[in-house]
Amino acid sequence: MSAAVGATAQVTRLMTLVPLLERSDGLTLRQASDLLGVSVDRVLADLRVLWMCGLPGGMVDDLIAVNIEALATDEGFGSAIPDAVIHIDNAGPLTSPARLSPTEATALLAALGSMRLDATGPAVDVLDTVIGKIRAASAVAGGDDRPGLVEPGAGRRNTAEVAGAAAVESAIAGGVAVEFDYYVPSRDEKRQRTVDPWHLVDREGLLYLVGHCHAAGDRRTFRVDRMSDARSTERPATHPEQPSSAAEDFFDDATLPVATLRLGPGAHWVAEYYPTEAMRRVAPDVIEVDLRIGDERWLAALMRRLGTTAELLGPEVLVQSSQAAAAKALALYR
Amino acid sequence: MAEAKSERLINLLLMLLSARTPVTRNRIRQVRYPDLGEAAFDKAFERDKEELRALGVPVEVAPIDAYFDDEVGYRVRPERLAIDPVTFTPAEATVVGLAARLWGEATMSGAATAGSLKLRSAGVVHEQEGAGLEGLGDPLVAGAGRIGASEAAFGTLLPAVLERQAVTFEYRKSPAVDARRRQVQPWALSRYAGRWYLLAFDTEVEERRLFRLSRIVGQVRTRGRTGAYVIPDDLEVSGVKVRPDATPEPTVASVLLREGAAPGLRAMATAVESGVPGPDGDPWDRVHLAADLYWLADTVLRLGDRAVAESPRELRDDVIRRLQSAARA
Repeated sequence: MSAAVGATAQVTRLMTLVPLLERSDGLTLRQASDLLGVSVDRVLADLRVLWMCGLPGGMVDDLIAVNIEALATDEGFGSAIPDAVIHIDNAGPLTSPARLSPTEATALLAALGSMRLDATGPAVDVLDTVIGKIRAASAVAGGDDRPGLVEPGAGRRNTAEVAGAAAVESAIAGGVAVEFDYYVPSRDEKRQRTVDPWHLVDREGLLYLVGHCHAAGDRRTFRVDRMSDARSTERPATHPEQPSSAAEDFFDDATLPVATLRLGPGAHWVAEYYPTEAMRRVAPDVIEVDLRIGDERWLAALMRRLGTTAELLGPEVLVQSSQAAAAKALALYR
Repeated sequence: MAEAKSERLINLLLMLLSARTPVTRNRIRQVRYPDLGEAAFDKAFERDKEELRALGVPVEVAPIDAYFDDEVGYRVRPERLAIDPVTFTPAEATVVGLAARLWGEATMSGAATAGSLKLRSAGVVHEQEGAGLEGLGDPLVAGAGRIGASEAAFGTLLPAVLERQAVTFEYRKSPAVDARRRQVQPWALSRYAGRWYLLAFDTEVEERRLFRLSRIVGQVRTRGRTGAYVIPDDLEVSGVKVRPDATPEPTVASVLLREGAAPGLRAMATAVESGVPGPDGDPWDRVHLAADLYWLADTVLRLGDRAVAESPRELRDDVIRRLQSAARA
């Protein structure tokens, strides 16, 4: 069941919509749908619920009267006409706007707290005022609604990521390809890419673009903070979204070779940081992991960084290339 | 299905809201659940009442008779349900709208949107497009969907924190040890560098502990009633910082780079000398910068034969030692 369809979400929408209707002296179905962020049909379904609600007398006078211009018939409502105006009557105690639930207050206050960590100048004062007002307005006397139990921390401040995300979002919205220079650290190489963008994904705090890469002719994932000079183009995006083979892992590719690494205590982070195929404990403080390797240069760079804390066990071809790369770099220090 | 339940919840709410004195269970059953037997009614009413509470409706339990408390009834006082009057300037209203879009996690995103709508329905937000945005500077401060929570455990731990309900889960402290069952009272959720952490009281060892959500294995299960414990005022963990320090002290260093290599390091440079004689006789560039030495060593090692650490000594030694190990030299 989707979030919009559940009873809890529906009751929340109705508790919001009724005071709005009461105050605004009628809204169109389209206005209500924009405000609530659900379809016109969903608004109609919501209103149909109200039709059956009322004070506990059970008499006609006790029921909430919902009137949608020229639509209400004896059978209920007809099909949705977005410009039809909704009026409401006899909604009694439901017309007072409700207090925020603990989850609602927490979600808003946590988001505002995160914005505050990044904000500068006059925005800090505006945020403080808003936080204070929402806290005061949502607090229940004697209630146990402590602030600060959910803290998302600061956001991104990397300017490359800011610019890249803005360009990608505008390209997605416009249905056009996005162009950017992309830096690949394991190759220390920057190349221009053109991508039909599908979506931005937030994974452990890093933002990724998933889309069709024109150069590769296939689905690719790009880290947004490694883009520079990103801009949306005039070229319409023509490659529709390809479903990911595994929703969880967009780096997954079963055709790639598997390397086995032995990790000492200082290198255990590798097992958590990268998706592993398998993990074995071989001694109290030593584990072995199998990693799929897309690029032997990436593996060689990882082994150089791990230094004395890890050992590459195989396959032999990757051991050779990795050691050769380290020897080449080491030669520069003689 | 959802419609029938929504209707039941709203009708129950209307009944409790309009009652001047607490309503008995019998009366509630007669009027709102006429088709249900005793046991089925108890179950349905308990659930509906809790759902209303989760929506922020203060359902009160009070004695029917002022002098005898052997029979209780239920009511919702309109003045406790209604939001206290509050007004927002256009700039403040814009900030609320931005905050509502910030969550990328579904539960929190829905809750933030519902909360901002309630504020709007209170008739107190004077909306004006774009106002107040200037001071926010960086547009991604307020980037839609910016606060994610990909860890599966978040969805269960969040309500547990808010409702003070104990949980159990399997936790793998490090990749080198087996997962072990933990029984905790969740206190707070905190995100650092994109990862969520849970601060909780471990009821078996009777100590506060910090857990990383991505190390929780499998399902989080709630245990016992809500409101089961009180969260203390100070949320520090002894010996563990809930929010680790982000940036170590930077050190002045110099690195040789091949022509065109490492645009990222060049962008951080305080000075660049171009065309200096390199270790292999070719012209290289000398880059001066201030950075955390451990990070810088990692970066130089990543660059392989396209970068050479020059100074300070400890940076150079660290790089050489790790290269020797990787080359099996």
